[in-house]
Amino acid sequence: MPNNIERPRRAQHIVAVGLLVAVFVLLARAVLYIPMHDTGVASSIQDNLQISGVLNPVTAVLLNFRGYDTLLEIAVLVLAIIGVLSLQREGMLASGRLAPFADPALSLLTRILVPMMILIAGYLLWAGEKAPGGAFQAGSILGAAGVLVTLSGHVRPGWLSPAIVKIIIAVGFVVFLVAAIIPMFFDKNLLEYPLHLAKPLIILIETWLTFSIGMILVTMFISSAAPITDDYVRGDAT
Amino acid sequence: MENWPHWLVLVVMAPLVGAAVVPALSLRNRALAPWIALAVMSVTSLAALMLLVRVAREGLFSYVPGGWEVPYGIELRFDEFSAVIGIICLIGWLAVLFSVRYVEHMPNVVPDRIPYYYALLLLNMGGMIGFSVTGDLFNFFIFLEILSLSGYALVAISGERIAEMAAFKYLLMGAISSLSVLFAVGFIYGMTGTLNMADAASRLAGLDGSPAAPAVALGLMTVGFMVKAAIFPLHVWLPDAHAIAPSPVSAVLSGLVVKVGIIGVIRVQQIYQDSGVVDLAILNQLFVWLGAISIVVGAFFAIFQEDIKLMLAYSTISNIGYIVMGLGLASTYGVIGGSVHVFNHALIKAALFFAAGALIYRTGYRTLTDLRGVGKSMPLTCAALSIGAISIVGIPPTAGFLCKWYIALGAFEADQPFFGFALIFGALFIFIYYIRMVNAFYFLPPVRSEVVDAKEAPLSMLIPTLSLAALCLIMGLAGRIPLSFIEPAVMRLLNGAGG
Repeated sequence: MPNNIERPRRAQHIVAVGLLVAVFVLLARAVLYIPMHDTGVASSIQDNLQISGVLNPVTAVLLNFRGYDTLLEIAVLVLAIIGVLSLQREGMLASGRLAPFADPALSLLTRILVPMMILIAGYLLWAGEKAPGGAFQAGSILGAAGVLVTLSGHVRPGWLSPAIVKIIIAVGFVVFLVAAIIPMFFDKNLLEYPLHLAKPLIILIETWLTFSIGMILVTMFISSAAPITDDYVRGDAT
Repeated sequence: MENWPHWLVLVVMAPLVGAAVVPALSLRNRALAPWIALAVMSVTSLAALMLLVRVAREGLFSYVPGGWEVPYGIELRFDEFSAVIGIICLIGWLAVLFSVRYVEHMPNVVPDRIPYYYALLLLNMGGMIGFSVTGDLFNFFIFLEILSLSGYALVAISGERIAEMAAFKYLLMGAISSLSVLFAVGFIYGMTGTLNMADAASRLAGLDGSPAAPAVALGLMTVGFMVKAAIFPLHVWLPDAHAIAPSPVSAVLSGLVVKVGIIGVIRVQQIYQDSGVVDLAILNQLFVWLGAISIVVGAFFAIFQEDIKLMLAYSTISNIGYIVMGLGLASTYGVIGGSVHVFNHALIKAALFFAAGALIYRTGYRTLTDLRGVGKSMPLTCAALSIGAISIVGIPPTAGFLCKWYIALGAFEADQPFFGFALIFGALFIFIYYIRMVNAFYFLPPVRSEVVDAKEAPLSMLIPTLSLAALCLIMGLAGRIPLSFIEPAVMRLLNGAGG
């Protein structure tokens, strides 16, 4: 940033805050004025739940009724990571440690927490079929476990080769896409699963999505973090 | 053949899938990346062609992924306004071809990242195409995100000195606009319990109670799309982002991506016009004024630019001004002129940015002073640039003339002749700065030896530049075809009959 850019004045702050408050009040009032409706699509969702393949309405909407949107949401995640990879400095994925080995307390905590996080991610994935849960929640917990492991110095970001990282990033999208396209060869529409295959397909897709989402989140974190310098590592290793 | 139902899915999915395929297949051999991208764009263009034939034959049609019925399923919907995907595919294809040599030789681009560049370009295309063919509000938002995110990354990728700052400014403004669109989608869902656009329109019509909430939703959507379209005063992100991006990306951003904001405005108008819950007259009058101001402001700033790409970027603000003015006039001629200018301006601006990119590629310079005399060393590129300049000023018989003529007629038809004169005044301004450019390239003595010794642009750049310049002329002569094509959709929009 050049030095000649002036810091905003107090008056500017006041005007900006005033404007924000005004917009907030307007929006809040408008939200309160939203007329109640009793129709809408919610009843159709309930009516069709039994042919969606799963029992949780949220999962049914995400993976079946509005599967097209979810497929594209995954594309957005993959796009975000492509954007990050296209801008990162050289060889970040294969670089050194992000942190020195953690002190005993954090180190122990990591050893206890990470297996539990993996277990919870697995549970959320499995529960998503009939209760709140699913790939996005499970994937973010896996992602958090990955961040914890790298931040506590247990694992170097280069532990997995960049090629494997990229494959895991892409696998969820690819599996979903293949499952979406296959029905088109049987005279159905995109994403139109046969009734008896809907459940296994949804579980298959969700499982692979969990890995991809977790890996995307970890990679995003690693790509924007700076590795510690060589001096630091050497000093720490003694 | 055009009746195969899956063309509509293919046209959206091909570029998105292609974006994943390009980096994967070019891991071993980077040089493959542009050719895979070109193949993907060819498939997409074929699908788009089929869809255009079908909509011309039978009018609006739709497709439901998953086979779930509307309104709880998602609907892909193809109407006459969706035909904008034709120009998206054309310019996308040419931009990939143009990039082959251009990106390879950009000084600040790391070679390993080049496959990602093509992936981002394809994602951007897929985002715009999906956005134009959806009939679902949330789906609309997702595609807005796909095309915006890839746009930010494509600006930053050039590696120029201020690229990251320009991209960040673009990202901040873009994030605010996306959020306000998302918020409005939430509002509409809250009011109607549906996300399908046509269904929302009919449920909004049956809404009793105060129009405050629908009006706020309309306002939020409009502001969001005005940022994307860079309408004054929400245009501040545009000049840097469009000037700094690699030239083929500038052509895509300036020719196509800003038009997404216009398509968004049209879609919102379709919903509200059909429901009749809010009177659009005030909003339209606002569009007319902001359009007029955009025309003058864009032209005024363009006059003072030395950098040719900045000049072209400011000229985009003027031209978006023409388009929103035409839409805001809400008269038949005005809306037809505005809609067709979405198409024609894309042709013209892409031709201009391609030509500017070729000049920068061969000479390494980008200001009017440095580029003096380039007309003699690169005659074909400069001829294309001149045709683009004549066309954008709106001199007959070029593509720019007919739209501006229609918009001016629309102003008189709507009984607002003042804006007709504002439009002509703006065109004079625009004439001044393009004359400056042509004057520098052809008539002023050169100052740089590199410019005098420059070779004509390579074929992979000449083909896109010259073919678009030729289309600027052809569309001037065959301009009636798009005008009569869009007319039924415009009549439906204006009469609020299930647009």
